[in-house]
Amino acid sequence: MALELLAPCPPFDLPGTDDRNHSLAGVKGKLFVLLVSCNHCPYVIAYEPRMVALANEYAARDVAFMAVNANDATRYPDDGLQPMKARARERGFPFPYVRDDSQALVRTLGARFTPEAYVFDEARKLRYHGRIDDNHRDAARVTSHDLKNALDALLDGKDPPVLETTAFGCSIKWK
Amino acid sequence: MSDEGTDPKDAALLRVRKFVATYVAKGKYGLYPEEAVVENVVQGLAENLVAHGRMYCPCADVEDSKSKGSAMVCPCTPHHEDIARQGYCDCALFASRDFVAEERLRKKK
Repeated sequence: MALELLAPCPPFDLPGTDDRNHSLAGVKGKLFVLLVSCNHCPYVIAYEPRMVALANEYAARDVAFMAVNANDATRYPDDGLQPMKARARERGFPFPYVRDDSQALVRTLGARFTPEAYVFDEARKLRYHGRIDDNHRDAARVTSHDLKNALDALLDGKDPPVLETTAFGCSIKWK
Repeated sequence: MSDEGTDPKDAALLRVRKFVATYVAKGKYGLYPEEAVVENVVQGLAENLVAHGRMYCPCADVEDSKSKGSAMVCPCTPHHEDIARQGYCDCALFASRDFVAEERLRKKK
């Protein structure tokens, strides 16, 4: 079951590619964007530059980003912590990239795909869930910037114009 | 491709849609119960068909897939195992009839 709108962000404390643990309590920011991601999915790879650009753009507006990878690293070794470290370094992730090896966080979120975005407000209640935008193939042909629209609305004290969209991408590799 | 004079992507889309419809009609699986997700996979398969000549799974790295022969050409080798484990294939194109029924029931609630 997917986390319902206005439900609180599940607590977590997960190891990151920066060799530190990252917890919900440690997240600072007016808004918190949690991106369910991974290393090997072509959809994620296509979106990574946009994920980085969004995180950089909204950092100045007090929005915290984090990416979490829960894929079964036994079947998909590219999704283990060491390859994640390499990816974070190569792409210059400006946000923590954490490993949910037990898959508990991602299961509680009810995520099914990578990438899948969750936006929590200052009280860490879910305000937007779904895709980043409507065109993973070509950023220039995006017609609906769903995540960006949600962030702009929330930062203006309004509800996101669309609260939920259907995420698409690779399925999460469950254990 | 036999559809001379048509756009290669359109011809590929036609071929993919026909394959998907036939596979569902004759096989034991249904379509993943989210139209937008299915359409995205269909588009990805058609793009790979145009660019690489085969319907490589869009949820896998194409170059890696090429090194595996036909294993990652839709319907891919692991899709039976994936559907048995989680109810749907890794690209979320095909799903078990049980998963489809459960999702429909969940959405009705």
